[in-house]
Amino acid sequence: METFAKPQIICHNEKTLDYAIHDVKWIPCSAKFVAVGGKSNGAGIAEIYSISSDGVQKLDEFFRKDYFKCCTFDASSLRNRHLATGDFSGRLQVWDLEDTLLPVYQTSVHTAVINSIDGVAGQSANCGAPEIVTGSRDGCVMVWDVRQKDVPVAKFTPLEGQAGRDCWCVVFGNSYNNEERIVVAGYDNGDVKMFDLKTMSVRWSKCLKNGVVNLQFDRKDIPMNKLLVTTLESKIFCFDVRTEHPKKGFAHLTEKAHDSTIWQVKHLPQNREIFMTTGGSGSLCLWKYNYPAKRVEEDSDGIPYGVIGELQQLQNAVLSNQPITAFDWCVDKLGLSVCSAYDQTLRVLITTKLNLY
Amino acid sequence: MSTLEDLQKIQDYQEYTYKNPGRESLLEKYRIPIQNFDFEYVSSSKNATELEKMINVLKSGQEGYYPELLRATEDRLRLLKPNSRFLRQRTLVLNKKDLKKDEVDQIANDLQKWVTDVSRCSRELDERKCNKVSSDIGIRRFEHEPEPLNLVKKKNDQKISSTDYTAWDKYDPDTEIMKIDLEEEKIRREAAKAKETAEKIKKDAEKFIYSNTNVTPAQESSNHKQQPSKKSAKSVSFNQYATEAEALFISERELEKGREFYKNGDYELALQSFSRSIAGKANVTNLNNRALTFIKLKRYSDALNDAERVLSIDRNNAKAHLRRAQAFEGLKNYEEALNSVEFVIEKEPNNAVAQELADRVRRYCRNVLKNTRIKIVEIE
Repeated sequence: METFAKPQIICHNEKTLDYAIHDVKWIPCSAKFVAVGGKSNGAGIAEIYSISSDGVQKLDEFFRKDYFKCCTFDASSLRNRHLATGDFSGRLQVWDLEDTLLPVYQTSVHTAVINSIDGVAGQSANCGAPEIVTGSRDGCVMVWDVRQKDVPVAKFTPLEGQAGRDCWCVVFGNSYNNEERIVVAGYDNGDVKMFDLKTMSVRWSKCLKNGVVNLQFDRKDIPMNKLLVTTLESKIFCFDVRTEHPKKGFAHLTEKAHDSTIWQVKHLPQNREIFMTTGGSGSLCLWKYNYPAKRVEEDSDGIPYGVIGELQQLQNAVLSNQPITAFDWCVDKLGLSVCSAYDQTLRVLITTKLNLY
Repeated sequence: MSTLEDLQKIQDYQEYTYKNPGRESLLEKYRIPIQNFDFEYVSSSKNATELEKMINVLKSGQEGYYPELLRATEDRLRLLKPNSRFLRQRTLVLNKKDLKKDEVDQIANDLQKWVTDVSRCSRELDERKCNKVSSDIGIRRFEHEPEPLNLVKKKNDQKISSTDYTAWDKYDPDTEIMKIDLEEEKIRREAAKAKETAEKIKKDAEKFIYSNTNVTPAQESSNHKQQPSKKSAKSVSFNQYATEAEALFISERELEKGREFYKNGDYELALQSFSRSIAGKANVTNLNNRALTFIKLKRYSDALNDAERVLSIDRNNAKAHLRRAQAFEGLKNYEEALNSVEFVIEKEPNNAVAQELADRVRRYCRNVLKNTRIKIVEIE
């Protein structure tokens, strides 16, 4: 019975391209996705694809001077669906995909490549203003509001003399009403910093042994619940960020998988307890988080502390022999996802039986 | 069943032991007696950790290769600890040609149907495109720049070594004790603050429910009558989405969120999400879910309202009838509860919840009858 109910990962379509793909994202509320990256002649490229039952077709493309590194739709409303991109020279640009001659918004405050970008509150109401956060090799984390030109609305910089630090990933979270919002950033030295945008201060900080490659909250627009962090050397950390104990901090667990760098962690938009991790050896792992019987216990002084549950591996499948560096679930269709690997191939995947969990 | 592959592995492992003499083997490390590596022992063992170690030994091949024994050990472990990390297997991502024809067709049809639906939504959104970014929330401002981050590991306070007398001379136990006390005081304050925020989240969620739905809690209903104008002003915000596609999208997302909250027992937050989902677009599913959440929160008349709303859409919805029965039970109207639950049982005879509820309600009905009519003492 158990084996029959197990989700299966099926490769629906493959497309080999002639450039290095750095990021892929579904266009919300459509059967289309974008792939961004760089060509061997140094130009940045963004392509729009549409899927159907029998294949993947390219609809449109545009070129720019610099490689695109990352992109997101999350800060844009459904009616606009503007794509925010970060590129190798540190530019943040927002594009209208139907008119890509000039960007809708542009800044170049970062001095080095933007490694990671995230948006919030574009498609959901009652959770604050739409904002974009960028993390860069110059060590800075900046928060942007497209209504304000040239100056970030918040900026977290390293101490002078520590400019060598590289910020690898940033995400939003805890944005459950119009005031609260948190940004979490991961750095190459293993630091994870949680910034509270309401008080403009560091709320929590932890040093993991290896460089932090990717992190994600299970959902952005709820009181923060779970934070997943993946690092070099095949480690996954799962923090229960609901309850913080003054001494013990957040409860967490560690899991080893993939036998290589874990490049991506992406929660299923339809069910926050399920997530996919992608590895440097071309493998995909599908996990489910099981809560403990009681999530919060009290210590002898009556101070509550969190209790961590466990991870269950639902599937471990090999897709490629190159690192899978970008992965995105489709918000509108359960189980549909797209990913790209260093072998310059786009793959549309279908994961079955996710509705059973 | 041994295969040609197995035979080949046996040879490989024999070479391994020959090449690596003198190193401590896993068997020695774990201190498992060799006689435990036996079909009979394995199939009756109750020690999952030992079985995990044995699998490790068998997989390492240091003691030779025993495919049958390995399989037997894994089977046993699967019974004892199905979620063990030693049972994880790596497979290949399936390709379309690995699947049966009808499976492929089913997936293709499903996908095609979705593509048609979502493309319609997408076109609607494109038609109503507006390139302005509008938000009624102001741009973030802050008074002071956040402090620069220290990204280098902090060194811990060093302990004073026992022979460092000058350092010990400077050490004042009283101030140290005071420091510890202050620290504890701070922790207590922080904990109280954390508790407060958690409470506030719940309260805010509840407040939201009352301001955005047409249901008001009993104690506030009198207030609410005095300010009818305010209420009607708020109900305008129902159609806050310019397009049908947006309303559907929000409705769907909030429904998913609500389900997750519900599963975790955060009923107030679940209620908030379901209410938002209904505000986007009311349908049978989100109304039924909200009814269930109301029941969990013991707000039975609200639950009844939602169940009735479902029934006005779909007269024969069994789930709504069940919710209605549960709500009536909460309101102690056992006759009506029985009527509703009997309808459910007629449609779904195997529904365990319904059966249980029916038993309970019947007992009450009988008690009521007993109380109102002549008392009959049964002797058994």
